[in-house]
Amino acid sequence: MNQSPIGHGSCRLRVLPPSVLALRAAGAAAGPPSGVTRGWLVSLLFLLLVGCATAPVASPTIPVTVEADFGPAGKPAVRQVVQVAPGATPRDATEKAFPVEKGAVCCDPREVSTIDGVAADPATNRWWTISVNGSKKGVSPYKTRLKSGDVVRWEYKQYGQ
Amino acid sequence: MASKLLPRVLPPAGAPAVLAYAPGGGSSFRRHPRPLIIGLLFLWFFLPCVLVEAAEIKGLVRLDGPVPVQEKLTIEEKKGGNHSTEGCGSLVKDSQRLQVDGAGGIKDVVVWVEAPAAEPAPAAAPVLIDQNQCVFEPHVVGILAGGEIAVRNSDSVIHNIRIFREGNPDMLMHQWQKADAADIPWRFKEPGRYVVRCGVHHWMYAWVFVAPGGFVAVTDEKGNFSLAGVPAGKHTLHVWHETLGTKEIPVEVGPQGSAQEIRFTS
Repeated sequence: MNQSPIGHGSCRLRVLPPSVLALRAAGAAAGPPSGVTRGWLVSLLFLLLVGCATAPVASPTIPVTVEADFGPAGKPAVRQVVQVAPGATPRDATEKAFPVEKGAVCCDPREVSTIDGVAADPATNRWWTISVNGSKKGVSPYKTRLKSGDVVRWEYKQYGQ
Repeated sequence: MASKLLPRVLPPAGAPAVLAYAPGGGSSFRRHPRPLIIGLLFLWFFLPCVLVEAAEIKGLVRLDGPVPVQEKLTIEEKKGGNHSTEGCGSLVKDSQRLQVDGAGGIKDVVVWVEAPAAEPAPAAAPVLIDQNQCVFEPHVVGILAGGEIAVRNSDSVIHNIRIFREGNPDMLMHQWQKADAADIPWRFKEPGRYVVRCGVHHWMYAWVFVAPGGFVAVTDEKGNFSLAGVPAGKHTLHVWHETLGTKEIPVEVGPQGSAQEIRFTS
């Protein structure tokens, strides 16, 4: 008899085809129920309903490049390709590449204040600036939605005074 | 009975009780103890207030060595929109970060003395920080905890006031201020150093030094400062400049006050 594999990933369970199961169930119903048969069926159903329900479902991801130029902070620049969910924000992608702290640096507490231990510093006028695919216009670290192949670039800049 | 025998010198109405004594030599205390006790109590409570004098600490903060060349800022011209520099006056400005006069006097140094006897009292009126030609003036103010500033826009362009605590990139306050808008007040409850910045003109910033109590002053353009009303005694003078750092200087204030010359090296 053929047995069909179901499930994916780490959950590979071999079960009998429905026709075989029906035959076995009919046979069991014709005669007095065997304890062994009933137990086998219950176990099988349990495995089918519960066992594979927890199996990881692979979700699609997209590659995004994250760059950080630490500028006056004196750390070497870093460029990493990370996998994020479609529609992820630049901050989501950055969090995959570096430790990030959020803060109301400009206007909203969802902004990025610190990347890899380098914090914006109002006293010395040093700030993180962000661009996506070379453009700063309309880019928000927590609103912009990324597409496959986007390049998120952070620059740590010091302005005059 | 004795009161009938001796003429009493009665004080005029409203005079302090200590004047109500009876002449008659050493026996007057026994005869009239109450006025004398009241007089002694008066002295006990009020004499210390007269004896503990408040004095002035005056001084000069100067930079040793050659006077540095004044750093200049060249600002990129922008027309229209929120980032406009129209109305900002000259686009070449003196940096406020370090300003030293020809004699070495350093401007904008905070001098603060913690005088335990003094009550930490907030300033009666807010300290004004004006935005004039796209520069915060004064650049450094010193207030006591609980004190208040008021930020004014004297320019024809819009500004964006942001207040940060030193070392923390999270804004404490963020507010737009159009030309001719009302002053924006802000109270500082906690001691510390705070940065006020304009969000649209990146070179514009000011410091607010909030002392926990005592007396605080900021040096003028010649490096002079004055702390008036400091109780006589031994104190520590705390000195801070944004680029030169901090100093702590023990001072002894006598009835005539104290004169200090504080030196930084470049």
